[in-house]
Amino acid sequence: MFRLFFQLTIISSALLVTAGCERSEPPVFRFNSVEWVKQEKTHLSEGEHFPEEYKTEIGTIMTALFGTPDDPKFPFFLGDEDPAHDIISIDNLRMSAGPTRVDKRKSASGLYREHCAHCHGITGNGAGDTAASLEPYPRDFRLGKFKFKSTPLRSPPTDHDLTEILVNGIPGSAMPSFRTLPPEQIQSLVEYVKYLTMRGQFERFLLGELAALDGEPLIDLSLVDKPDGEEPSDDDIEEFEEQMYIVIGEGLQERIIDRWLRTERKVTKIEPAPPEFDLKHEGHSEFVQQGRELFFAKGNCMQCHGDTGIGDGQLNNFDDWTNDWIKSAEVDPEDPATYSDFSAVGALPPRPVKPRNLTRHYYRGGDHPDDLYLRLRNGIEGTPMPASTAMTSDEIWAVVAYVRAMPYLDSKKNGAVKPVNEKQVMR
Amino acid sequence: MVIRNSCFLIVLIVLMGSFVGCYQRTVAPALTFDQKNAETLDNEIKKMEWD
Amino acid sequence: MKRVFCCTLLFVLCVTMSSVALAQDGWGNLTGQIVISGDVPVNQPEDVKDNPDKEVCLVDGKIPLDDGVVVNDKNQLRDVYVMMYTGRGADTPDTYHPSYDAQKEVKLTLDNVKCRFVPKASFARPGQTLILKNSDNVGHNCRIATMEHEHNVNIVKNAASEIVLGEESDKIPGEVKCDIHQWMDAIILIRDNPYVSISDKDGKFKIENIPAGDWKFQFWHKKGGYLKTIEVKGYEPDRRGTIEATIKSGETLDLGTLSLPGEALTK
Repeated sequence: MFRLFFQLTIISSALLVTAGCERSEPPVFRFNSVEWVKQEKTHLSEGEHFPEEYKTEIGTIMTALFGTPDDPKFPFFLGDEDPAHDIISIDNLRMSAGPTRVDKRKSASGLYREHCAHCHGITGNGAGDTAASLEPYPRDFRLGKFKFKSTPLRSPPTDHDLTEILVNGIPGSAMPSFRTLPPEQIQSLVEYVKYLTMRGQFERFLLGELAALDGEPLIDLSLVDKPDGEEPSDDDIEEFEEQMYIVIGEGLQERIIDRWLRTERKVTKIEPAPPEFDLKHEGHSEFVQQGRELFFAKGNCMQCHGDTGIGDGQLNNFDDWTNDWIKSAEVDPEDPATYSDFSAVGALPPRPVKPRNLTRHYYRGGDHPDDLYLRLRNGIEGTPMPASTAMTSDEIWAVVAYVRAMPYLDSKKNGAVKPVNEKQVMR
Repeated sequence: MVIRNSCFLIVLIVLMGSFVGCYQRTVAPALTFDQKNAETLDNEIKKMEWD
Repeated sequence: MKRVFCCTLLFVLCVTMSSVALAQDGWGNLTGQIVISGDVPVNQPEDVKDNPDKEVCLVDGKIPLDDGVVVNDKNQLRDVYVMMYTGRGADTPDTYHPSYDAQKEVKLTLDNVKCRFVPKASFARPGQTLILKNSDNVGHNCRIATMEHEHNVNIVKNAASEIVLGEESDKIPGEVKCDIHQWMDAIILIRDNPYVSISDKDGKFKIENIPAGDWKFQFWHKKGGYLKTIEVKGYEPDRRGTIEATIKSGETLDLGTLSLPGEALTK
């Protein structure tokens, strides 16, 4: 009995080792199939599908512009003069791309695959090997949305914002700190994340365009690349340039790259905190009390974060990464049968977004008062957290003071924490 | 008994290892593309006068 | 009394004269009226669920109906965007009529009344100021998400917030939502080309002071997307719901009654 068991162990381990871990093909970028299914559901009737050639056409344009995971490219349309060199350098992309090299004598490469790909995926689609078992899910970069940044919604994060996330990690999520990496490696990863994001944004744009085009090619290469070597006519060239301008000039340069180029100028100014914000200031307690009132009245924060700030308010919202596909077709997030088409191509089961528990003093986007100020001033992109446009900067600072005091307020000593407008909010 | 338990442990570890290490979420298909067309397009992009 | 009458007459004359004068000099107008033919889709009650603010959001004590398709007793359809097509490969004018310059300076109000956005459909120009108002006794947020613009603003009860829109132009209208009351929705088009009209409660639309020439015009509705099945006498809308019309200097092109089959709005 024992011997049989022993043999079985040896055999099964040997089998598993050989079956699971054979040498694999070089990694490839994955097609954005969730977006594809979403576009099908939006544009076509039930049961209809786009032709498969669409995928190859998108793949060809993507590869011509952005290369492959082992050989990344970036479209610098103006050559060496291109302003995009300020935000992306090919050397930095190469440091992060490709297979991980362990040879310590040479310069590093494959950083993304070493540190990031297992969660965020080779493609940056947030569907790495471990993604399904993490809460929250790893970020899918392809929507171009980032939560923790110093710029308003729809403005991409700055390099500094992304660096902060890499250096500090995101407390309360699976995102670790990469503080031990040298700064040039962090910068390389930041640029690689930007590269994957722009790539993903452009792929989504192409899918949207192609879906609306009804079968015409996005860029018709046969206009200039005649099979029998014939010279294209002036009309052909004009038509071709028009297509290039719309797809690449407008779609990629103006809608995507230019926004990333402009983003440093969009950084939200942080007004200095009033003196009462200082813990030692005699008016601090009163300031915190003012923040508490704002939390319930003007801020309307208790709506989601709950009356006691433990995050038990409204719990039935989804974030934009989920809403993006569940809103397109009649998906009931609670019924997997309604989204089986999406699950089949890798969409992870929808999970409602959780309002933060403010009584634990960890804050995903950083615990510096400036970080909390920015979250309140601009809102959090991709989530229901809105911007407090109507509040003055001093009022925002008061709320920040209250939020920072929350973990230390003893709710048991004076009975449960009760809001000032108790009658309206208690139910 | 000790050996038997450790055998069981080994099986468990190997199983877990295979789940964690070799579980691939490759449901989304790889990006397909036409190498020749990609090169042609790349050349055309370089030829265009962008401003 | 007579004098008042004269004054009024003079004023009216002046206004008409000036608009005629403006319309003559290389500019024309486009009008029409949209009516649903066949069955009008029935609006379902909003999915209010057990939202704690239910009481505030009820209309006459009842759960409100969705306002996706709004018609009057003659089945004339509100909230259809009739807009100069600015999409792929479209010809658009280089300059707009000066009367549109002032439009950008006006502050546009988007109100929340009984958990409903008022107006349902709006048009704004880039750089314009939006007053996000809340007339309800509960908090709302106002999430504007179009192709090019995104704002998510907290608007507490009985208050208002102002935002300034960015400079980008959209091609089709985008959504306005409230995360707290998820059934609330409105639509907004933000673009620089001012040749847009949203059909009123009688289904009427009018785009004024269009430069004379051939332009494409598009019909769009939240529930139907591009209205490719709309019937316009003398025109054949394409699959993006556009027709190409000739605007003549000093004239108003009346498209008459445009009929839209009710099935187009069941998306």
